[in-house]
Amino acid sequence: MTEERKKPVNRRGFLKGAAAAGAATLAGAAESGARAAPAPAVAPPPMSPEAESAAPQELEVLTAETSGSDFMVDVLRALDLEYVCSNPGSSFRGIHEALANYAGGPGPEFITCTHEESSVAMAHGYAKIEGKPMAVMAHGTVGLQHAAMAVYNAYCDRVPVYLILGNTLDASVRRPGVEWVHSVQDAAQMVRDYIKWDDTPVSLEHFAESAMRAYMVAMTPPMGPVVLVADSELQERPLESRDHLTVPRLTRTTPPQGDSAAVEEAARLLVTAEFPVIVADRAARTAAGMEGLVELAETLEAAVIDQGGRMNFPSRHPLNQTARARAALAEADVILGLEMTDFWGRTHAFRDQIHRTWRSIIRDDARLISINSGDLATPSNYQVFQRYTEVDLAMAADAEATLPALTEAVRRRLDGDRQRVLDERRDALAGAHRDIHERVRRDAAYAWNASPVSTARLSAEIWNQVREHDWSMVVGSGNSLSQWPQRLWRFDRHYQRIGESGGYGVGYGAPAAVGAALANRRHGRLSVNIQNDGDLMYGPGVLWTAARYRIPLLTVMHNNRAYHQEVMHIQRMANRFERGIENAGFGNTLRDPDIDFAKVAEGMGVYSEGPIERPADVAPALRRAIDVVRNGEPALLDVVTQPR
Amino acid sequence: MKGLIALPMATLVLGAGSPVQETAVGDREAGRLAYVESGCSACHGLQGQGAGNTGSRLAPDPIPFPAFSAYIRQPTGNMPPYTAAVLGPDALADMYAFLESIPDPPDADSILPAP
Repeated sequence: MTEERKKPVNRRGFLKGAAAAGAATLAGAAESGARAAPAPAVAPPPMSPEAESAAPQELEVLTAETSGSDFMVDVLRALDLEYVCSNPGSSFRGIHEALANYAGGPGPEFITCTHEESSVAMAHGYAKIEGKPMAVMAHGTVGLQHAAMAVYNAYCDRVPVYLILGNTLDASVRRPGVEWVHSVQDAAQMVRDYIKWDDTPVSLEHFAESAMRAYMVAMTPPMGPVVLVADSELQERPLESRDHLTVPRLTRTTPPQGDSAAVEEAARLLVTAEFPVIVADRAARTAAGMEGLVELAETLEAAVIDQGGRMNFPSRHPLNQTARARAALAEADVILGLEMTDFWGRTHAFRDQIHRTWRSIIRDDARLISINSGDLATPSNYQVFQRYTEVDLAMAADAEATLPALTEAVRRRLDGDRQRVLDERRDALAGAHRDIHERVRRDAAYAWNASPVSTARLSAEIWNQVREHDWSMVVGSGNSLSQWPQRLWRFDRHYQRIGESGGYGVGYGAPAAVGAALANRRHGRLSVNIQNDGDLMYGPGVLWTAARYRIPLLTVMHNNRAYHQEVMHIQRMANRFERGIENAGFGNTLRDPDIDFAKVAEGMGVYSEGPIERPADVAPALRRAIDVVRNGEPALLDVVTQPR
Repeated sequence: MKGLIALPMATLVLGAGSPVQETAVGDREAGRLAYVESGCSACHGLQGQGAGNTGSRLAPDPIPFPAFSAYIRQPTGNMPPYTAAVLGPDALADMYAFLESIPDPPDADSILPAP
């Protein structure tokens, strides 16, 4: 080893002053001719006995007043980011410390999460209630690897999430060991297929501009996750002056509205249709979106089918035909799809037998109109775009932004004669809505007293207890609960339902519910999560986060003690090959031992009861749990349920 | 508790050409076990109440036995087929007896809030 290689290497920039002092020491040594035993350039290696006991030969610069991280926090403040969800990690320790101690004003509140997947899913749920992103910080390597599935969910669900990844680009300054394996050349590469944008700034000015751009991109429909890599050297390097640094003003884009000629043509088709049907999926981004859809539907007196990607349309509105969607679509001569994830799937029946077959369930002469911002950003690799649909008029535009113009265009085309036709249609649809709702109520009564508790009974009991509150169903278990809440409850506010995961990545429910409940807290809403058992087992630690930050959330377990969707899939395969279904539960049940979710929750500091197996015990337990939640704490009830 | 229920005799000839002769008598308790062990409850609920898109309601008042039997053997929708190799005729009759024994539910107005 040469003398040159033995020299301690200074941390770039941070030890700028110290480096000068070291150079002076070396120069002094050279001048004295002491070549056989050169003095250390600065000091013995850190943490050695000599370093800790001996007086330093030179005073090393070990402290500074401010750093790049302080500036980065100011940038985050300018973005109106209320919270940063994170499992702490050394690659972003600079920003973490600045959030804790930098005294330049109120900063985003740090929410400690126990898994990066929980951090991102919390941000996912939060954004769908609050309409803006939450920040997430994670290691650029192991943190993002944990977070990746949740990022995919948010991407599929078109939800903005603001990810900040720590990384150490400069290999010459990395600490040996952990910092090397936690560093990566291109941190965002791992998720680039399913985010909207990313950047790796190399200066603070660059960071500031890219931070603004990232927010703008995330919030422009189709919305989605973005990634900003915060280099550790940029974070930790002392900042001598801010004279050359500015925090740019955030540019907010207006969402893209449909082409005016296409809007006119859509209005013409809808007004002249005998039976137009509107199908909405991720259409209503805000309360205004739902109101806009109600206005269009009432102007047209058209049937509406709510796919449930968002809270698009009041569930008890007479024009809501969701519960008889197939019948409505079969009658339709014009179908308007708003932000549809799967227009083909909605208009076809698919049969999963040995020979997969499908058929159209709509009229041959039906005309299809689509308004979909997803058409503006179709990915290549991940097949989120579903099967190609033959659409007669496709607007690559944001549906919510286009609704007012479309409604106005419809109004201009209506005359008295047409209005009489519309009035008759409204009366017929209202009658069909009443009939189907009555049938739903009757259906809910079957197996009312069965144990384990039927999913209809569970949903009805929850509805009975929450209906007098200002409630928000942050997670509803969807098809796992046979859509009973959607069928039984009265949804008429935009925050009462926020859709599901998007990517069907299991593990979304519990953390998304906690994030959404965090957003609901300031509004005083009662957040309700009907929680699948298998989903909670992915990241039960988020219950601790709910308890730690006093996030009021009622969680009711839909505990069917299985990954039941998979039970049914194995059953299908076994029957297909005539092997009997005795082994349908092979590897996909959660029995022996049964999971005691009340104890799991109790261990996390969450009020809990269960397991509850008798239907009559559900309502009293709900009342007690709601009292806890109304007092600002989370509560969990473990209800043992039927499979679906 | 066991209960024996008489069923209408039925002979169906299905598309595959296999005649289905079904028994006239089923054992209710054996049927309950067969219903669960055959996985019917996985999609249709423990009392045949149905489950949205997953499985239609089967009880109370199940559809006539010939149609019930025919559909199980050769479903036209998404349900997996239950051939005689995995579900014998006796078990099928027992299962039907179980479904027939399921009582009517309470009146919806007595248990659910007004619409």
